[in-house]
Amino acid sequence: MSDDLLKLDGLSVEFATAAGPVYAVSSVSTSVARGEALGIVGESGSGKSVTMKAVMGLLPSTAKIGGKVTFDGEDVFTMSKKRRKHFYGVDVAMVFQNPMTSLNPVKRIGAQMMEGMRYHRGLSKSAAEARAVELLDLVRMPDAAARLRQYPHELSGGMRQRVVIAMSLANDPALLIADEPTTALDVTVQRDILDLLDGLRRDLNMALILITHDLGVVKDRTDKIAVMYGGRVMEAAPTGEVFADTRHPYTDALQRAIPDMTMPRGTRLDPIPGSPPNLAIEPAMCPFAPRCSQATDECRSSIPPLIETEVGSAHAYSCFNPLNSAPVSEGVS
Amino acid sequence: MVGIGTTSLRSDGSPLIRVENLVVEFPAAKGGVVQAVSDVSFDVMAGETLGIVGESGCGKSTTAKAVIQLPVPTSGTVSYDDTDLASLDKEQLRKVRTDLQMIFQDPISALNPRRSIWDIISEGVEIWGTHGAWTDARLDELIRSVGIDPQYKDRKPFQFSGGQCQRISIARALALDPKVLICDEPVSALDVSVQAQILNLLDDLKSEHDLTMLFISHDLAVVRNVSDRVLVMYLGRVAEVGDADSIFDNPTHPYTQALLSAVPGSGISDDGSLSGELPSPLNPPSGCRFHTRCSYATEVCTTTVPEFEQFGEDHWVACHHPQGTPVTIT
Repeated sequence: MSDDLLKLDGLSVEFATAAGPVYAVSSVSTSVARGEALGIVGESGSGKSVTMKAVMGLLPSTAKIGGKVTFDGEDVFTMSKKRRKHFYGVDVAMVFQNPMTSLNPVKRIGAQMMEGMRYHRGLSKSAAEARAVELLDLVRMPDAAARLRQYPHELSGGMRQRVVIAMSLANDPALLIADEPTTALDVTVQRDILDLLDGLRRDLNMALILITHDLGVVKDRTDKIAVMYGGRVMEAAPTGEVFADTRHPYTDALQRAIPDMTMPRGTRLDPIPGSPPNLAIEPAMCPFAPRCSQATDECRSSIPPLIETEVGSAHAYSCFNPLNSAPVSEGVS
Repeated sequence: MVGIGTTSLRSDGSPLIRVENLVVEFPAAKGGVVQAVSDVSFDVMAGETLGIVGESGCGKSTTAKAVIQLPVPTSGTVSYDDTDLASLDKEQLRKVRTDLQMIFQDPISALNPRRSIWDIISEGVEIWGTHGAWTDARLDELIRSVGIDPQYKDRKPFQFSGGQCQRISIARALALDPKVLICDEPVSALDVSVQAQILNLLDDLKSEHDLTMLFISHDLAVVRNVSDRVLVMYLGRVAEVGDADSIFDNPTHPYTQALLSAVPGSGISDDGSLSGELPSPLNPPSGCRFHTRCSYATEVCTTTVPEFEQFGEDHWVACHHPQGTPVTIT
């Protein structure tokens, strides 16, 4: 797509540790356009959060970053310091998992919300206050004006996450990255927050990246999905195709391992044997091979490239023994 | 009648656990009282798995913990094997607790980081003597049965993954040959690919060791998978209780319906009734505690606590406006 807002091209992240390098993310390529929602799905250690933290410049100095990330055509890693300040917080904003730790417990909601607007936009106190109320209304916070005087501990988890989302929207970001935004919340509140993010994306024509471990969360609320495992993209496709035309054995295994509300009770689950990969070993094979029922010697000796299902198709997978049909074309998308 | 009644308790057979009119309250600042559990009654037959579901703060963990008298209930009775646990002295209660074991949500913080997993698993057996025929060889066998290679028994918890640590806590819980296993969110902290391994393991061990289980989870799909019966709690009270299939196929309490519809991909239509926040258990709403968030609520809901009515052979609902027709079964 030519109108990609954020484009990751072969992004890699390595951490130098006392015990040697850890290969957290290896050649990840994906993109998201304005108004589009991308879901990044993976288990812990899959590299999904590290990928987005690399984009946001939130990684420690021990991280060695390779590849290219462009935002609206501009290289993110070579931005000037001054440009960066505007990039983070104005062009791109991020919402994290635990709303209690993203908010300062000893500052009032209003003061925290106004800080970013006054810094980035030089708004006067009264203008910032009016904008804060407007944003709280936007995230459907009841009694918005009164909230400005409250402290985070006076709000429930769902309310706090609404405040964090409102803050992230303060400077009309073109892209919102939400990292497990509902994992700490009850299912009932989870639905409200996901609906809210979905609505905001449509109303504000914002690009949204939703990072989660739960396929169910992204199923109805994203345009496309990238499934990650061991720091790599296993399968990337329009959301419907990921479920209807699964190619990668990992994507398939993940769907089977999760109990479904429609399954009769006592249904034996189909677990994925073994444990997640050790990222301290330099990747030389398909990361999923040790746990994969389809694995052959080829999978254990070389890394499968990301292959399109058809020339120009948005559906790609990295597997030598995919499910369903054989690939028509080869090449990294 | 103040409470929702005990009519859901089964009269036939003798339940292994019988909880009647359980109330647990905690003192709060300025003379307030947190009404964590208010008049909860249920029973569990030997070999049965009871799933307890509800939002955080609904009292599901407190209810399960009150069964093992941690904390001691404010009022109400808990009988285990026809013995009222409140009537036991400290030493007798200690003995009974060997039958009632727990596993917790965070497997890493549940294990002492400075001790080997062998020490962790065998400590109960050491305290209680060999407890029948427990020997080192049988403990090895137990460790193997949860999927850990006994040659690693001298390692410490940090050398294992989260899923392996949960297997170790399960082995520790089973070392004393318990009758009842209380699982408090046992898979919530685990990755989805590991979650299925642990659920299958619990299922295997349940039949192998003839366990009765209380299974607490906020994940309704997991509860449906493991439970014979389900107890749906809201703000310290029971909303709906009964056979798992009956409740999941025909949710009748508006709260149960709202809860099920919130599950991503559940396919259950939602009337948006569950808007707003969970009220504070410090000052719960009068009448039916759900009336502040219920779209069917009327005057009577604000004044009168609903009693259980029967909606199926084993399906009980406490609601003034149930979404189904009551049945009378004689």
